[in-house]
Amino acid sequence: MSEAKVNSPSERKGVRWTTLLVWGGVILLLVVLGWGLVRQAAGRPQQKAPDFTLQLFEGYEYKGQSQLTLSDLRGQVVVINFWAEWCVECKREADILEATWRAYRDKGVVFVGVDWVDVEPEARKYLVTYDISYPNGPDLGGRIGNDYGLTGVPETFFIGKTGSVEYFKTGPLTASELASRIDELLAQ
Amino acid sequence: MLADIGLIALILGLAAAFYAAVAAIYGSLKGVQGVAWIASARNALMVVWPLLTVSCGAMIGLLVIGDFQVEYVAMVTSRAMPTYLKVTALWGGQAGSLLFWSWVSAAFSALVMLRKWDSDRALLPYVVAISAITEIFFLTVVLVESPFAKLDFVPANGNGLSPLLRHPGMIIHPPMLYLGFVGFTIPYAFAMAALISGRLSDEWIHASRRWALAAWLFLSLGLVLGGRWAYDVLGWGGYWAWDPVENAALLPWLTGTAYLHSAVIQEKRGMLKSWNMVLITLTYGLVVSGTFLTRSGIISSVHAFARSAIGPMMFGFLAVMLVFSVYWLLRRLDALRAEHRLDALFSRETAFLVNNLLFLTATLSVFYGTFYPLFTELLIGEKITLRVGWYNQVVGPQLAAIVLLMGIAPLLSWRRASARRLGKAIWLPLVLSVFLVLFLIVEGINSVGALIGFGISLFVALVTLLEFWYGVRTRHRAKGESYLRALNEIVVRNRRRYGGYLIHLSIVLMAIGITGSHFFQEETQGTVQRGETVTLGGFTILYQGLNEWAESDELMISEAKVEVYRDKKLIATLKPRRDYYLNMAQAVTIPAVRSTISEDFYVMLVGWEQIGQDQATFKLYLNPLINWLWAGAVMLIFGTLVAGWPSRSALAVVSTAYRPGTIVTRKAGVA
Amino acid sequence: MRTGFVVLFLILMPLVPVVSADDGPSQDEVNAVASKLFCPVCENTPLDVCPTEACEQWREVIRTKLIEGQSEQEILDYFALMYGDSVLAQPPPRQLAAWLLPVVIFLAAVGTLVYWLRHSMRPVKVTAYAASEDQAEPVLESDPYIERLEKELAEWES
Repeated sequence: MSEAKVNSPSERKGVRWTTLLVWGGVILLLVVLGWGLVRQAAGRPQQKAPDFTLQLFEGYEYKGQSQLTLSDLRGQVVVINFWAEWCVECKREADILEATWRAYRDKGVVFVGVDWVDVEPEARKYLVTYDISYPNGPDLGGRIGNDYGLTGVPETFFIGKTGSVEYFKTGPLTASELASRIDELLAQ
Repeated sequence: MLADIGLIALILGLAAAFYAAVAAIYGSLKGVQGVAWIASARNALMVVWPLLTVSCGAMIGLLVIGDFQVEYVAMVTSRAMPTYLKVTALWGGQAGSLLFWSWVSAAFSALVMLRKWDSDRALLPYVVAISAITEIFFLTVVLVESPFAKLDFVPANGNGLSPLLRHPGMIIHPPMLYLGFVGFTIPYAFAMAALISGRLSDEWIHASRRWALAAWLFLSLGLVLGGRWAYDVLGWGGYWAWDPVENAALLPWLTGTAYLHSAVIQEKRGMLKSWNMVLITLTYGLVVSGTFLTRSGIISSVHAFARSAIGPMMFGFLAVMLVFSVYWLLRRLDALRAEHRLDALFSRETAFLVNNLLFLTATLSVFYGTFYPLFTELLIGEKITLRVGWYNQVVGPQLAAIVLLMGIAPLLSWRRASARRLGKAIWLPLVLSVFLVLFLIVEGINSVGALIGFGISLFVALVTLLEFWYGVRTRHRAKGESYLRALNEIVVRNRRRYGGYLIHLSIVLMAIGITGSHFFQEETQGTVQRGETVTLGGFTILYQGLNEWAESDELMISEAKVEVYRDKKLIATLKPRRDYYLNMAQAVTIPAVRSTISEDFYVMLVGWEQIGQDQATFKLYLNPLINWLWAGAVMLIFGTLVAGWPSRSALAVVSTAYRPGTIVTRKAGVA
Repeated sequence: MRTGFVVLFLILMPLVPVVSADDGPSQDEVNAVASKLFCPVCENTPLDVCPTEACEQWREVIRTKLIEGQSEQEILDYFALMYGDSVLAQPPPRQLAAWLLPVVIFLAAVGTLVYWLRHSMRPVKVTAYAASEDQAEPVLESDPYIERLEKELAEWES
């Protein structure tokens, strides 16, 4: 079977524009969707830990500073724990986190608590209840959680000395798990 | 044992589909000698469905028995679930729902193979190939998800379906949606067959018309059923939340409706040939991207399945499908020339084009809104989700314009409409609608949206009813038939037109329901002791007390009893309740509803704490006219059946469909 | 004066069961603000119907702020600041892209339609037939040169 030929120059130009536009649209759509897929892998192991600056709660400062930037902590092992007061599972690991923090704080390990999508007065009550002393701050607008691909709380990210995410855990941690992960990263 | 049977049947199904694809392509390339290959391919494709039936049957068996060693069974069923829910759990999780999708797809493919192919046998090999390749893709994805995979221990009990899914809606809403989605594969396959084979006359549209209509009906019902289910269990008197997955199902419906209309232009005037190809490709493309969106997790949603590895695979399929379709569309673009040109701007053709314009604008708006979080994250690094407010303000007016058009287009003639004739036909509905609007304003209604909604609804209803009236009156005068007989005759002789009008009337009913419930919903919330009352509108409820019991060892039910009074008279006793699922630590509130034609009175037991015997919190809703929405949906089924019902001649064709030798004979030299 | 009090009392009577024992905003007033917000954590659930403990806390925040005398807009702004613009039922005017694009889409669609209509109504000449079998479809084209030629031929002939 043969195809009809386009005769007039104006129509040929019309077809060429249509072709360009359509292919352009298809490619653009596929690129955006593909990027969305790739983005899902963010904040996961072997990726560089997304940097952030956390405004800390009053009373939970780090080295006297009321804000903390992740990249400033390069060279130390960082344990980032996302939590919320309304999160039932978070309460199960709160004591463990505080105890482990006290054991490792002078060994080049920094614990950072990120209060995700929470209500400040309730969050403060939580911190007092579990006698938390490591730096804590609210994730304003949920941005930090978004960067780390958070799907819920609690999630804990272990950042190595080089600044990449070495492990992450969804759900509450046990004391032995927490300690052994930190030991591994300290040994690197 | 059952799991092994299921898996083997699945693999055999994939093998059959693979053979069908290869044989169809090979046969079409071989020209005349390929005819036997094509027949073989057709048979192979038909065999896929019985094999998948065995596979699905095995899975249903496993679910009902409760063989928790199979991982999927442990995920979606639990001991205390009622049997009907265990069966519906087939589509309750990712792997099972993909298996079910493949089964529906195979059923459609088999049915298409059974139709009479004499008049368009040139399209057969391509339809077989495309159906088979689609089947191959989905079966591969199913195998990757491994629904029959076993755990290395046997759990004592399964998790069970998510509490929100434990509702009779689970029986029918997903299957209807799948029928709609998968159904659009067939017209798409026909369109692609026409493009690839170069047979660019209208045969593909004729052949696939009823398939498209059926798919559209199923999709419409699936959407309405989803709305009804949400209304029943979500507990905020709402039925549509513009949730991304809901939108994903709406998008192909919008383009599908546009397609059904513009296909009429192609059949009547030979125009818009390339555009119809584009529309059906777009519809199917939206189906595929919709399922990609739902299953990949790139947009978060209440409906989304858990993130899994098949996201990239679905993306791959979408990419291949788009590139393949666009390539062939562009390649054949020149040959898809219209037979006629537009005679006049003021004509029914233009009205249909405006219809398409409005539907496409709505499609693009909803698409944009759904993927907005992705776009904003890409451009500004922050994920922003658009909510109900944006959609209602943007898409609402677009849909209202479409409804308005429903009242104007039937009054325009083909080719060239006269303003005079339009004026004669339109003045009465217009005047009466304006009267209605004025009346409503006098009655105190000042919401512009509501006034427009009701005004347009009455206008379109009157125009459509008048169309029936003119037809009946003409026949009555000309043939002396009784009015009833005349009505029957005009409908039977012109099913498509009058069926279409019935569908338009159903849409009007739904529009009235939506307008009433959206603009005039009232609500209140109150905490009361036993014996106290809460009032909303003219209704008062009296809290009588609470009953709590364990329905099973997984389910605790708290049921409140309230008496409903209106004008001091007891009109109903309602029992809203809270179902608490212990193993999942999740509760579902089931409202109690009193439904009448004018409104729904909706009572919900709220509170996430322990509800006390003496004190309870209730949320009351008044949803005016909501039942017009559901009534309209029922009428829609009827209207579509009328529109699509085959005439006597068509029926004769179908009954002689599959006989040996129906496909094969071809003259030499004719490909 | 006394009649006034009696009337006021009678008007307020039906409200007694609804307004709970503690004074302050009623549940309906809290819900009125909450209905313009979405639960920051749950998927697509309005804040006034969300049954979780977290949502209960957020409604408490609204109640507290209402008691403090904050306006509805101030409360909405606070939530947008704390949890992002996504919690608002209605995107604020600063979200330009959200409002602009539907307009752009509509204009683009209208433009395409107008273009197609004008193109479709130009006079045409049949110049060739496609050679595919089973089709006698004329290839229609409107070549301005051929049109001009035909016109001049017609003039020449007359």
